[in-house]
Amino acid sequence: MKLIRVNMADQSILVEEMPEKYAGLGGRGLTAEIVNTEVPPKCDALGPENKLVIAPGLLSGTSLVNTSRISIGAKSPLTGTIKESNSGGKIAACIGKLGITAIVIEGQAPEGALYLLSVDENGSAKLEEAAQYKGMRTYALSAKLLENHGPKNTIMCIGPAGEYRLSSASIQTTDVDDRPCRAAGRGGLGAVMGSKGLKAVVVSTQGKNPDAISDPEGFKEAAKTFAQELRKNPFTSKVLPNYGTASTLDAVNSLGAFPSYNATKGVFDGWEKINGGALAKLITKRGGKTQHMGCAQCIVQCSNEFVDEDGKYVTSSLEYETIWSMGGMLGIDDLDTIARLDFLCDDIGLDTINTGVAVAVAMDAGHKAFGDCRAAIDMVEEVAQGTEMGKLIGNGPDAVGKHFNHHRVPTVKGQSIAAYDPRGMQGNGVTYATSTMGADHTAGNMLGHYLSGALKPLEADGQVAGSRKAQIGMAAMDCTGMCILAGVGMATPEASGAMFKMLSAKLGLPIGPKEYAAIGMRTLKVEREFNTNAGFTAKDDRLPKFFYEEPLPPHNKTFVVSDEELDQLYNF
Amino acid sequence: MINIAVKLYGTLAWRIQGYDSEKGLHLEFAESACVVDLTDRLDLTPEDTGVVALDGRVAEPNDTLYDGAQVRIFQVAHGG
Repeated sequence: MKLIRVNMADQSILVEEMPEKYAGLGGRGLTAEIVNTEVPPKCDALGPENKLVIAPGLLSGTSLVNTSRISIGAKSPLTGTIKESNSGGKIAACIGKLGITAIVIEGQAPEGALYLLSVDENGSAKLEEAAQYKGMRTYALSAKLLENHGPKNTIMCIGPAGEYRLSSASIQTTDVDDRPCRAAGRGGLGAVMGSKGLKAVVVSTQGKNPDAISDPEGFKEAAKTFAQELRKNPFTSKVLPNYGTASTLDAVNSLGAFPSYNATKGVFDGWEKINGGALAKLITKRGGKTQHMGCAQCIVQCSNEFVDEDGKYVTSSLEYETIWSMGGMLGIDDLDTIARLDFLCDDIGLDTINTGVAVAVAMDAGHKAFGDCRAAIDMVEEVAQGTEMGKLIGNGPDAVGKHFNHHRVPTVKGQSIAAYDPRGMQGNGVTYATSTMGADHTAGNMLGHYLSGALKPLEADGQVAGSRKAQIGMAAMDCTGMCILAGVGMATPEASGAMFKMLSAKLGLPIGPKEYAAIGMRTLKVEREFNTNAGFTAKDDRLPKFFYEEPLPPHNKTFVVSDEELDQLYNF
Repeated sequence: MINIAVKLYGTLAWRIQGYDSEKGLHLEFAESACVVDLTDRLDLTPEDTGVVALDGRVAEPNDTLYDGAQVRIFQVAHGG
């Protein structure tokens, strides 16, 4: 249980035992606590007072399947709020196996200096000058770093967008095939990493010293049960391996809640050309891969490998949210273009969601026509070139909306919504408005509530209570390192019981449903406290005006949850 | 009798041999038929996790089908 502090100002590294105040925390719970305790809430997110906290989940590095989610936290330059963004790949499991609970990047390197941090198989960290990697895109960078440091390493890095300190800059992590195609995309944390002067983190995959588990036998048995439940669950055993997250297009378009053409329609005309079925068919025909393993210890295998007509690799993995942001939002029904845009974002180091929506706002404002594939690719490519338009796109939808004086900008606290329109799925609107991190679907996605019939998506009733419960549940899960998709398996009593047993065995404390929920509530309260101290009030927990005024076809509804109801979300 | 158009998504399409994803199915039912009659005819089980959307809204098993209805049946999803 060690914490590594890296001071970028003088390049010193301090290794300390986990302070008592952070004991028992992991993932998002730990990043939230460190940021709230150690970062001045009103500081410049791109200044020396901000800290970038890298923390594997509580269960990362154990034998449990699907637990390789790395939480990265800081004050966000995009939203001004606290932020946790998590990514898959291998790095969380690797850091966990090194017995490292968190790495905290502090201070700021001298202007113009660039470093990389490496952590060897013994968990020893060192900073090296990285001037030779300046300006490199993530694919070339990762290949070079693995060549120089050896293949038994995994990478976390930024691309040109992070070096430019753009508000949509992501932090990319390498997948099981050593490609930097996994992203901590949201909140502009790549810009924070860039502001520190840190280009990459190289971590050994050979760690064999994970934190002790207080009841190893009990843990092993419960981990086996959890994996068995995932293999039985139709969603994780059939739908995701065959169609990936793109299967969600069917549900959201069928219900008229797929924000298209910059959120002016709820059904995308060409959605059946880009849905899970179309994607799987095209990939299979060309010899690419569905049922692909993207993250360490994953048994769901929802990833895919998209190839071009010649069978050459384009990107991995093409996911629902990106197919939406680069497809439906732009009026593009061509999977080859969407895949190319996904690759460009990963390579330049950009959040695909915020970037796609920025392009959508530009198109809606008349800069280019919806459906113009070439224009979309050019706009994203300009980010890497550092042009004026590239900087606008890279700074996200708010920057683009302001530039074009365009009113329809689907963001909350500066961060774009995701692939569920708040007018077609009101509870997702509640989550967007009230999340501690701006509009973020992973903070509490309500889609399952509507598909099960538990809630009516177009009515206000029950949405705040549903979103509250979902946000608490997600905050708890984000502390464990468990993938959100595998986490769906927790719906059965056997799987949730196994999860509680594993957390108890890991922490040496009795954890049941109540204690699990308490982990989520504590995390949200800490995050909320940071935001309040940063100057945010209830007035910031609102959707943009157009969602209240412009009805969304085909149901022609506006967002109907009142401000008074939204203000009840944190009543716990 | 009523006629409805049905489209199947995800692994549900595997249930119908030769299913054409562009055309879907065109099925005939008695006037009083309900959603459950449709799922029974397609042999859908709870393990299929099929969700029936009737003209853009999630339907209950006892909702009545009507002539010209556009039905989409997809599987439970949780985003990405």
